[in-house]
Formats: sequence, structure tokens, C-alpha cells
Amino acid sequence: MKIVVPLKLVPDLVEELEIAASGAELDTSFSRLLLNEFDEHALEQALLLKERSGAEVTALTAGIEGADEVLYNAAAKGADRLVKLSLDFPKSTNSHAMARLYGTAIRDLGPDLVLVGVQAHDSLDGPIGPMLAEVLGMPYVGYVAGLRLGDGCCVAKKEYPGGVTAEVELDLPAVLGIQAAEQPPRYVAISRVRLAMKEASLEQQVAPEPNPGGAAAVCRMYKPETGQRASMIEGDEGTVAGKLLEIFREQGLL
Amino acid sequence: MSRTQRIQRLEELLLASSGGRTSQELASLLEVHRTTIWRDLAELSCEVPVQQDGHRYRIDRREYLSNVRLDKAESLMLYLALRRMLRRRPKLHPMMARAMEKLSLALRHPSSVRLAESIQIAQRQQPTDAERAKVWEVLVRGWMEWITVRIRHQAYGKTVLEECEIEPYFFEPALLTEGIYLVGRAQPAANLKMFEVDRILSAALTTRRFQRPEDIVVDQMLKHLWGVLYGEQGIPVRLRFRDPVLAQRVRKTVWLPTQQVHEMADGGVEWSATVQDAFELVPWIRGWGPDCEVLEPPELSERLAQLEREYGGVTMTTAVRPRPASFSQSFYESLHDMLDGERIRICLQCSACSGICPHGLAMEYHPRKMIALLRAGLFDAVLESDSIWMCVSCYACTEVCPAKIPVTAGLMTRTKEEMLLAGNVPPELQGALERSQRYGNPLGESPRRRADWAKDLKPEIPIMARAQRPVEVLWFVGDYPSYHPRVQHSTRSFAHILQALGVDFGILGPEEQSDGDSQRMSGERGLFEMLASKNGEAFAKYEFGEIVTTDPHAYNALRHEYPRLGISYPVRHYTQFLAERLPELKPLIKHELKATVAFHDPCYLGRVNGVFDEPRDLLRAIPGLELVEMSHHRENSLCCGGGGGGMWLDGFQWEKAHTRLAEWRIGEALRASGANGVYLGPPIPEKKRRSRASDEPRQPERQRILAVACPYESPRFEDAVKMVPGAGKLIVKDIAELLADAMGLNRSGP
Repeated sequence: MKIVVPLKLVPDLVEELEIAASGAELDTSFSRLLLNEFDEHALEQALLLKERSGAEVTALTAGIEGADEVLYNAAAKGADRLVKLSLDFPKSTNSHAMARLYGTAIRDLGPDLVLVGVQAHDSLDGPIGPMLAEVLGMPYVGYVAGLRLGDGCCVAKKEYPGGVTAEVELDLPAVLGIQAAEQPPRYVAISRVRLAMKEASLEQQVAPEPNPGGAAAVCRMYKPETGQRASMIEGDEGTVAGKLLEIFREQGLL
Repeated sequence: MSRTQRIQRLEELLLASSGGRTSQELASLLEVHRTTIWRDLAELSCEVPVQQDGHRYRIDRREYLSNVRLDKAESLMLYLALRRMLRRRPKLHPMMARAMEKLSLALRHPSSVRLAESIQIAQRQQPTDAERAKVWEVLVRGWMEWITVRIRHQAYGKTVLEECEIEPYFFEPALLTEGIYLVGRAQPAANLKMFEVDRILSAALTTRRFQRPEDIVVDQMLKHLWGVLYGEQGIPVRLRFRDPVLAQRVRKTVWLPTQQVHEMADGGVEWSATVQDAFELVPWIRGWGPDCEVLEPPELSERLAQLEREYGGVTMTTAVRPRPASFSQSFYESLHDMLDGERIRICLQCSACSGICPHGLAMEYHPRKMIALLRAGLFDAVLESDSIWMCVSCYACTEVCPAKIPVTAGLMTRTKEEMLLAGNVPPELQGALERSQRYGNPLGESPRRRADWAKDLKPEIPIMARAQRPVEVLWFVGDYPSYHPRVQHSTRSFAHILQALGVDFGILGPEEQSDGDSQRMSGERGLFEMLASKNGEAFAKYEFGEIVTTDPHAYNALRHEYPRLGISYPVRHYTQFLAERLPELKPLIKHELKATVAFHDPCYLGRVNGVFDEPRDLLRAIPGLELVEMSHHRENSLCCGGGGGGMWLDGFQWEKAHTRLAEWRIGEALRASGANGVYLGPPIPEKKRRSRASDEPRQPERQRILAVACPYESPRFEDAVKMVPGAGKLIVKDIAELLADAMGLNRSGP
């Protein structure tokens, strides 16, 4: 069983986001990147499967700043192979381009299962998962929270809105968009990461020029603007609380 | 003549006549009726061996020791000696028990009478060791009547029984052990020899009386005996005690009459003596653990080393050999590698650690139990539970440990490290560690905004990268002082004070990382090293005289841990720094503060680093302030619950303990500052709380303040104030805030 987990780095929201001069994208010169939270769950799910029934887990990512750290971290947690796609990446690439890049690289790895985070907060042109499945010619199920492997197939627990859960059986190989791993992503001690840095080897793959074509174009990017209907209550806590009470009474809520 | 006096006279009359007396004779001598004499004789025979030969009564002198009259104090001395012997014995010694019972009753004190009752109960419950009692009786008889005794004796460390005839001279309690020795001349060797009475398996009186020795001077004979082995030279033993504290004990105690104690230059001592059998000293020497080094004889140190190997480093368990358990064993050995780590072997399982542990009750495996499991090779159980995460690394256990085992730094922290390596860490803590790794602070704030607290301050706070000049003081601000909105107020207060004093200082700003000490104490040593090396790189870039910090955890790390990583700078806590400048500070204090203030000693300032007086000196410098002490203070201070990762385990610890240390502390602060009716425990319903608050007597406005000197504390204690009924008026303030207030430097409250 070969499981590939493509990992994606996204802007860290701890830093304030700035919009670039073009007005249609983020200014990435100051932003820090961190591993997409859903991808962390995808990796955790892969490691759980490995522990349960044995598998080779390959972590793969694009060779941008912070990629090595993310891969060594994955190795320290238990990933067997680390693949870095080296290319002079722009700091932000859309999902279409990423899906093509990852797809080409993953095809060569011959996986039985591809686990990818179901979404990322910078996926303006849609999540990578379905597009990746398209590139690979594999079936896709998203919003998966737990799965078990069968003979040549897997049964994924898919979450629907409104508290409905379905079990979906897919033939392998397949791509699954992971919503949440069966348990929270594990902690890995820094000493383990350091050891991985010494012992694990990074496989470098030269990737072709990214092709972002086919995505919807972003016309304008802007921070939330104050709408007309909102009225801001000014003043200290006492005044604000008083006015709120007044409004609640007017609305018949109290 | 009272009856008691008459019975006493009766005893004297019987003792005085060798052939005994008839009841008729006694009746006429004592001028009472014969029936009275019979009654009195019956009474007397309860205490004295009265024998009847036909019509004659006499006292069996072999069984009788004359009446010794003791006053209360003398009885007490005997009582104490006996009590000590009895307590050390696993089995009730029948003669000791009887003697103890009599003495206890004679003292007629409620405590001793109670003891006598308990001995009676014990005697009924425990089968008396008849064989042992018989041996004793024979030996005592031989000793009393100068009759030789034939004994079967098992010498120390031997399996073969020796049989010999001895002339018993006297009994002597052992100095090193709990044994009692019989000293006598052994036939036919005709030398003085000592026999441990418990090793004499059987004894029988012979018919031979022996010549009384000219005179028995016990001390001299003993000295002779300890120093001489069967007429040959004794074995010289030399031991070295390096620890100055233990050396004090060695100086004060006499274990052997031949012992000599020599002072050494390092404050330790060398102890030497000549003994009959060096191996008898083995248990005593092992009791000292690594603190006692055998210099002489070599066979003795070899024997000790051999025991060490056999028992896998466990020196104190005598019952069962630990079964091999790879993890327990390797972990136990790894604990020995650290500073003073070997002391764990001398743990005597007294449980002082677990008793003083503020979370001990909520821990499935408290420190004492952890050590027991380690020794038993069953430590896996500890790693499978999550009770180690109740440890707040407050060092209370380390402080009270009589064996001075590094419980906190060693056992507890190393266990956390193992848990962490195994990925077994509560999610709350995991988050804090991940954030520390990623952002250089456990709060997960942007490192770029680390100096934002200083943004609006005038004059500006110099940031080293921008100032580009040497400074006297590099202020290591720390995580919570930089980011936590409540603690930022203390930070700004300290900045005002530094500026008012005209101190030339600078901060690192975004280049500063978490000091990493609490991450280290929560088991993430790798993360600590990573953070320390980043801070080290930043320090190396600039020139400064010393580091000052408001954070005791940072102070502790910079003082003790960073130097081990090659990052060594002089460092002081701000209370030390300001206390030194009190002469300059005092004239700047303009306002008095009418308040009763209790100071909370932070664990890492007080207990760990011994800084107790400086914070108090600073508080006393504020006029009008009355400083009071809480029930836990100085070395015995109570943790706020934030150390060792506790800062990031609030939910976890609450679920386990259903109490918060900070709330406990608030209760103490209230009591110390004069509040009545403080309720400690689970929050009481709102209704009750209100009525209680209104019950409180109205007092003239005098503030009650809990003063702190650690950035973990003001948020923790302020939260606790909200939870403890009746605590609403207690104010929590950092010393820096109180000083800045008194100096008129703070424009707004926190």
C-alpha cells in the first residue's frame, strides 16, 4: 500500500495580510507560510493507516521557503519518503497549477491512495483534491473524516452538512479530501525533527513550469469593508452596553 | 501504715531473710492478721517472684532485681531508650514489650498509658516469639549468675552455625545497626568476642560457673573489642564525606568509639575508625548512598561495587531484586547521569515529595510512587497514564526531599520528556509547544509584534537593532510581558521605572524569542535548545553590561541553563536590580499606599533561585504599605499553577483536580490580609455568595493587595479572584506596578 500526501503551504494568518499593489492578490513579501491545517490531518490519517495496516507514506511538497521543515517534520512523525518538487516557485500559485504539478509528480510514484487536505484558506480557484483526481484519472471523495482499507478498495466516512455521515466505497487508487483525521495530528518533539534532518533524505524532483490556466481570474482583492447597514456603537464599555440593551429592548429581545 | 507501705515492708522482710519466713512470723512483725499477710503476699507476687516452700515464703533472688526507684524524668529517659529500640524492631520483642508496658504505666501520663494499652493489644495479637524469649532468658540468667552458656551462633555473612561456650559479661546495643550484642569471653579461645543476640539461635545454661572478671569497664572493653580482631590488628576504615551538610551530621554523631573525624578543605570530612569486621559496615555505608566514598580498605569498596552491579544500581531495596525491564532500567540509569542524579538511589520512600506536592492528591503516580515503580521495573505504568502532566515544576518536592534528590529537574522533567517523545502530550500543551516553535512564543502571536507593547511609550524604548549602540542593561522582556494585555501593563510600569532612574537600556524586540524555560520543564528540551540558540545569536550581536528580566523563568534559564549551552551573560531579576538601586528609587516615591500587601514568592525566583528579600525590600520602600505573609511563603511558597507547562494545561489540570492552585493562593492572600470567612473549595451558588459578601464587616478603605513578581501570576491570580467568593476586592499587582504607582508614573490602571 502506497499512500502519497501532497502538502501545501499557505499564508500564516498570525501576520496581518497585505494586498499587493495590483489589488488582485496578496502581497507575499511579508507573509510567512505554514502547512495547511487540513493537510496536517491528511498526513495524520496516512500515518494512522500505516500504523494500522502497514503502508509506505510519501510526503510531497513544492520546494518553497519552509518546505524542508515541513517535510522533515513529516519524516519525524513517521513518513517514509520525502519528495520535494524543486522549481523557482512564486510564493503563491493557484490550485489549478498546483494540481497539475502535484499530479505529474504523484503519477510517477504510483500510489494506491492519495490523501490531500479537503481545502486550504488560500484556494481561491477551488480545492486541489478534485483537480488532482482529474489529472490522475482517479475517483475522488471529499470531506472525509476517517476511512478503512479493504481489498483493492477503501471505505471513506464522508461528512455532509446537517450532521449526516455516509460511508462511501471507492476502488483504489483514489484521491480523498481529508476533512479531519481520526485523531488530532500528533506532536513531534524537536529532537525527533532534528534526528530526521540528519537521517531522512529528501528526494528532489525537477518540476515543469507551473501552469495556472483554466482558473477563474481574480478581479479585485480587498479587506472586509464597512457596509451601509451596519452601525458602529462608539464609546466605553458602559455606554456600549447601555446602547446594546436599548437596541435589544427595541427589538423585543428582552 | 498504708497498704502500699506494708507491701513494700513485706518485700524488704522477705529479701532480708535467706531461709524465708512463715506467714505467722510476718503477721507478728507487721502487726496484722495472717489473712492480711496472705492477701498482701498475693499482691506482692504479681510483681515479685515469691516462692512458697511448705509454710515458708521467700523471694527467688535469681528471678528478682531489687526495686529501683526512678523519678519521672529518669523514667522518661528509660522509656525513650526502650521506645527507640522497640520501634526499630519488626517483631514485638516480648521482654522489651513487658518492660515498656511497665515503664509506660509507671509514667502515668495519658500518652504513655495509651502506649501501654497498645502494647497489650499488640502482645495479644502478635504471637510472641517463644524461641527468642527463651534465648534471652538463658542469656540473662547466665549474665546474672555468672554461669557459662552454650550457644549456637550464626556469624554475619556466614551460613554455617558455630557452636561455642561463652562467659557472658555484658550486653551492649550496636551503634550502627539495631542489633544488641552480648560481649563475652568465648571458650576455648579465651578472647573477648561479640555476638549479636538475634544471631544466637539457641542457648543453654551449663553447670559451670565462671570467675568474675576483676572489674568490667564497659567502655574500655568495647574500645579494645572494636579495635582488635581476635588479638590481631583491627581493620582501618577510611570514609570520605564531601557534602558539607552531611559532614555536619558526621561530625555530630559518634558511631564507633574508635572513630576520628578529620576536616577537609572542601568543607567535607574524612571519617576513620578501626573495626573488627569491615563488612559489618556495609549496610551503614550503603545507607549514605553516593555521599560516602570508601577510601580504605579496598576490599570494602570492591564489595560495595559488586553489590551495586548485582542490584542494577538499586541500593535501598532489600526485599526483591528488580526484575529486568528494559525501559525502567535504562530510564532509571539515565536519571543518574544528571547533576546529583545518583541521589535517587538513596530515596527512602518517605513521601515528603508527594505530600507537599500541590497536585499530589490528583496524581495517580506521584513522585514517591514513581520512584518505587522505577525500582520495581514497572515504570511503563507511569508512561501509560497522564498523571505526570499535573506536575507544575514548582520544586516544592525537591525542596523538602531529605535525600536531596533532584525530583523536579530529574525525575519529573525526564518523565515529561519521555512522554513527549512518545507523542503522549495533552492537546493544550501541544498547541503551546507548536506555537513556541513556530512563532518563538507560546501565545502564537506574531514575532514581528513582540515590541508592540512599547509602541506609544514616550520616551521611546530603544530596540537594539535600531539603536546600534552598547547599553548597560539588556532588558529581556519575555513572552507574557510582551504580548499578554494584562502583563503588558506591568511591562510598561517597569519601563517607566527604568526611565525614571535614567538607566541606559535596550530591548531585542522582534529578535527576542521565548526564553524556553517552561517549555524545557514541560519536557521539550529540543525546543528549549532551539529557542536558546536563537536568543544566543541575538545576544551575540550586541554589546551590553548585563541582562535584566521581569520573568523569573527567563531569569532561571539565563542563569543556569543558557551557560550550559555556551550562552553566558550576567543576569538579574528586576527585583534584584531595583533593590540595589533603592537609595535612588526611594526619593522618587511620592505617594503612599494605604494597603495590606501579601507577597507571593514566585517558585523560580524564590525556591529555585533563593531571591526572597529583594522583592520584600522593594515593597517596604513604599510608605503606608503593610507587608504581611501568607501561610505559604518563602521556600514554602505555593505555586500559582503556571510552571512546568501548567500555564498551558489549565483545562487538563482542572479536569483532573477540580481545583486551581491560584484559587487556593487567593484564599491565603485574603486570610493573610485580614479577610474573614474565606471559603475555599468549589464555587458556591450565587445567592449564598451575595449574602456572604454583605455579611462582611464594613471596614475603612484599606486596599488588600496580592503583590507578584512573575508575569504568569497577575493573569492567573486575577482569574482566581473572580472565582473565589469574597475575593472581589483583592487587587493583584506586580511589584513594578506598585512601585510605578507610588512614583506617580502610571497614568492608567491595568
